[in-house]
Amino acid sequence: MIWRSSIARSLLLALLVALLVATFCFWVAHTLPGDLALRVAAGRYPGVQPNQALADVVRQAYGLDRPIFVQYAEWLGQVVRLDFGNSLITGRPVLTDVIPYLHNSLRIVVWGFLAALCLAVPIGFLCGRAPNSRLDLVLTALSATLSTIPTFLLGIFLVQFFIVDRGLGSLSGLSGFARLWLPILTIAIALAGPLSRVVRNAVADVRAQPFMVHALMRGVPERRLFLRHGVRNALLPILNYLPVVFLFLIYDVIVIETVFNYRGVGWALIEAVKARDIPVMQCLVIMLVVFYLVATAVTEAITRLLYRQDERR
Amino acid sequence: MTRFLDASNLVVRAGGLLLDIPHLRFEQGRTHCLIGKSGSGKSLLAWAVAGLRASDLDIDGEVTLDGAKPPGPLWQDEIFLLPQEPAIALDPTMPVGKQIAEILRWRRATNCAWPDVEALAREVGLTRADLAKLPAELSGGMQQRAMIAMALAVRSSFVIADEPTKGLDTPNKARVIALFQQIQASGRGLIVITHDLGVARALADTISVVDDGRIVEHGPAKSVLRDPQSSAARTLIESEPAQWSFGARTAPSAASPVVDLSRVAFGYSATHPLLEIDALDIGRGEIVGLFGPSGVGKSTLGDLCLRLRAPRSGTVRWHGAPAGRQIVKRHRAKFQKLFQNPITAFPPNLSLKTVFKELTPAARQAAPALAGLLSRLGLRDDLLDRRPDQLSGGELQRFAIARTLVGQPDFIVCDEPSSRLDMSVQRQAIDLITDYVKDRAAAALLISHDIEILRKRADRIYELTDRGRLLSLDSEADGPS
Amino acid sequence: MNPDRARKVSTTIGGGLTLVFLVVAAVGPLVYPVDPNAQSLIHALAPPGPDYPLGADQFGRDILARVLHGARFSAGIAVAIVVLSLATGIALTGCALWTGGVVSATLTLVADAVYALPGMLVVLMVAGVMGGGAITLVLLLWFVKWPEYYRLSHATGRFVVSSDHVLASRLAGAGPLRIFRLQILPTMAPYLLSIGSLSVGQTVLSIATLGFLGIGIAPPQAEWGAMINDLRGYWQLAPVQLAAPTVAIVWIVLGLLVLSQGLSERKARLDDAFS
Repeated sequence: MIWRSSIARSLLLALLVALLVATFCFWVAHTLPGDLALRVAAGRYPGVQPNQALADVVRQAYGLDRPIFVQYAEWLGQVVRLDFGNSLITGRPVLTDVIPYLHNSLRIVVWGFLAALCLAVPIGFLCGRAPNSRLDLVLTALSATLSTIPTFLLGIFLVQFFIVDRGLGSLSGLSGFARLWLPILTIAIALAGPLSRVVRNAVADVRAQPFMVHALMRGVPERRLFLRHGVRNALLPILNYLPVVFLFLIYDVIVIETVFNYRGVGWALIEAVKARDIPVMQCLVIMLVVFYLVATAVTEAITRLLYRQDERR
Repeated sequence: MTRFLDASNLVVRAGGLLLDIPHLRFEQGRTHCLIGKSGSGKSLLAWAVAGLRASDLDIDGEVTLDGAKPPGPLWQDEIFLLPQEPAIALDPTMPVGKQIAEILRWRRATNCAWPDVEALAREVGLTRADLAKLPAELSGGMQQRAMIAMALAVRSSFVIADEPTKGLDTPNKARVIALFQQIQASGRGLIVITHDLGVARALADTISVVDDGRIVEHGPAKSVLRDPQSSAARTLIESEPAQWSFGARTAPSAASPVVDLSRVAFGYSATHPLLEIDALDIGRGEIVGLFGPSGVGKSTLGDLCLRLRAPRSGTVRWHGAPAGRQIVKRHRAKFQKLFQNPITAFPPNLSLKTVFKELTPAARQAAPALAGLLSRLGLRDDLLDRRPDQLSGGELQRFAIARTLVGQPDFIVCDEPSSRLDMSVQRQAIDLITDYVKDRAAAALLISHDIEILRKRADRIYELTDRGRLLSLDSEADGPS
Repeated sequence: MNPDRARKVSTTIGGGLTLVFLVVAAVGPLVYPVDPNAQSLIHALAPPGPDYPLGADQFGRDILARVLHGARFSAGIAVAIVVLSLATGIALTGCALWTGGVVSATLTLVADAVYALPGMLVVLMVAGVMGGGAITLVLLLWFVKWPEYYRLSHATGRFVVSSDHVLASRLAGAGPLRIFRLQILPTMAPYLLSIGSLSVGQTVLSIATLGFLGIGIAPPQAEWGAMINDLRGYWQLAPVQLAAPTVAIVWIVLGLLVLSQGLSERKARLDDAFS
């Protein structure tokens, strides 16, 4: 019973988050200084000089003169049907414009996340096996310093060092190893800092648990001890931390795509915000939030399955 | 051949605790009990003898096996350790059955009588379904039994058990003792560290009495228990509830009760109430005992009487008036509780002076009364400047009593006072409260899982069954009449 | 190193770095009263010298003055945000613990929802579209940050409220405010201090990131992230100018990180005392 209600609460939370974000999106569009109708008109009829008469026509056609709640409800309905309207810049449907960006972003996000795991897990494991050893202290200091450097600085340094000074890669195009390896590495380094700390602490904590000694007392061979009793216990805090990693991933992707001038979702979002292209911005923000919510929900489901967490309460 | 362990010149330090043992010998096939009040340092012995290292533990001295230095730490092969809290020995993410199976796979005794995990589990009273559960899904008693199953099968000549009955109620305690007798029968050497004389009486061949980190008495179990020589051993034995004298009795009076419950139900779901109390009344001068296994809701019933919790249905009356918000507010100071653990009953960050001055209105209004009460309880004024962690359990217990009594309550709930401390402290607490109740014609609800204590002190005894009902045990309350 | 000493060293070093920074941020612009926005195109990208201690940017603005004013801007905003969120979190925790029931459940649900929100995304969108400014930034970051403190203080507070010693005080008839002040707040304080000091650093980072992205900070406001973005094309020509804001960011964030480490070790000791 509790199990169900706990899942229900997670769903309710996700729904609330989505609704909150959507509300922000809508609210931003409507509190923007200047006439909304005028801006919509400019997007709708790209060739024509926007004027008051045209704005009035748009106002009528789009129902912008109706009560705000009606507009809100209607807008929500459209969003649910993935209809975000037309871009105010290109005049094309938002989704047609955005899909390629999404495709580009996924490429660096997925590889970046995997690379971060490949960096963080071995490093964290090595440190956690020998907490307070020299290796651990050096890597701790390194990751602490790394986490104080904002991602954009990290990106700038790496671009300067590898691409501008040494020509190892390129800043144009959308695919190919030369173009992609550095943004992926930047994401990996930015995420690996905090993630390796979490892995390190999880491993160190589990190794210090009394049940590990008692497992040896039960005769479990030392070389099998960690695999048998350590891994599952160490995994729990790491899984619990993953939603934070996904959050960082979203923020980092925005910054890194801007630094590398890479046409992904993050880059497009900054462009849309600066150009006040409201429909595109709304679509991108909602997309990023949905990505985050889905990723978090999947992690949570895995945790539930692995640890029967709720039945125990 | 029987093996033996010798501990010589053993000095163990951990924090403020110190254990100093010139020489002690444990023999296979015999049971050695170390008894002593809590904080006497006896638990350190388990770690030291097993050769376990911990960062805050400083061990000096030598432990030999059959007169020779063992090649590795003893816990790896020769000693199996049952820790105080069985939960810390079990991997929380692995079903208990799989963990018991590890013993059978890697360290099974050659003469182990049980072919598989299920047979072994049946022996200690765990079902097949229990084996598939994670440790946190089992009760403390079941976890303890899982550990004992391991001790029964393991290839070790010695088993050390640290307070094996701590926190268990009477039936579970009896069960654990019976299982330990089985370990004895298997021919292993058993070392039991306990503050419960019942355990020592049932199991021990030899007894060492530990006080203040030293062994003050050592000898065959029977002679130590019957004719203790040291004062520490005498105090220990005299404060056992079975040795207590009976308290004065109060006959049920016809006057209106201080607290009464009628048709009270409590629970989180309406269809399955945890508690269903048809009637319970406690009159002036009366001490009502509440007995029952752990986890049936004895404390909850106490909280209902104090209106710390609201019943789902039914009425709680104070002095005959339904205890609603107004009544509770008016009489709060007169309806008090003595907590189970005096250490958690005080905020750890505040001095006792602050507690009494700022957080106890009754003491603020009656400063002289408090001073008198403290001196009657044998508490010096300067102790007030200390924080809880700077006082002994007994002193803190008396401060807790002072805080309870300073407002001159009409009704007191004593929830297993100090059951985690020594019996002597426990007795002192119960006596102070019962004396107060008899002197002032107040009323009390005395909660305990030890029926012996209730027989000695309560006027009437109820048992709370595991279905949440009250059962009168008055025929059993055979006082001196 | 033993944990006790490590804690002291962490607190001292971190506290020292932070204190020096805060003093510089507070009095720096007074001691060095150069207008951070005065342009002088003939001095564009001037190297460090007597006129420009840390050089000038591409518009000939004094880097030292801009770094100092940037410090005041970032530190001021970050401290304001954290103090506001902290106060909100504690006050709402008080409400939730005192009333319990539906109010508490609702507050917790709202806090959880806002906490689960990718907050910087909202800040980026709203500040970006509305043009930003210090007040907007403070309000927006306050909105996304208060749940962190509410959740933390509520989690510890709820635990303490159901503890025996609070129950004992309630039974003794002590007032709720007194119990909150003497028994509940001291338990939460170490956690909140540690998280708070870490959070000031993170807020400085967030502001710098927004500045770098060109969002929420209206030029010509001196802001480190924006300075770095302006100068990132002049890596070879103006290394000192680029390094100055970089060092400033790392200084304060590292200082606060180390300080919070020291404070959280104290928290661990307190945990022991409570167990």
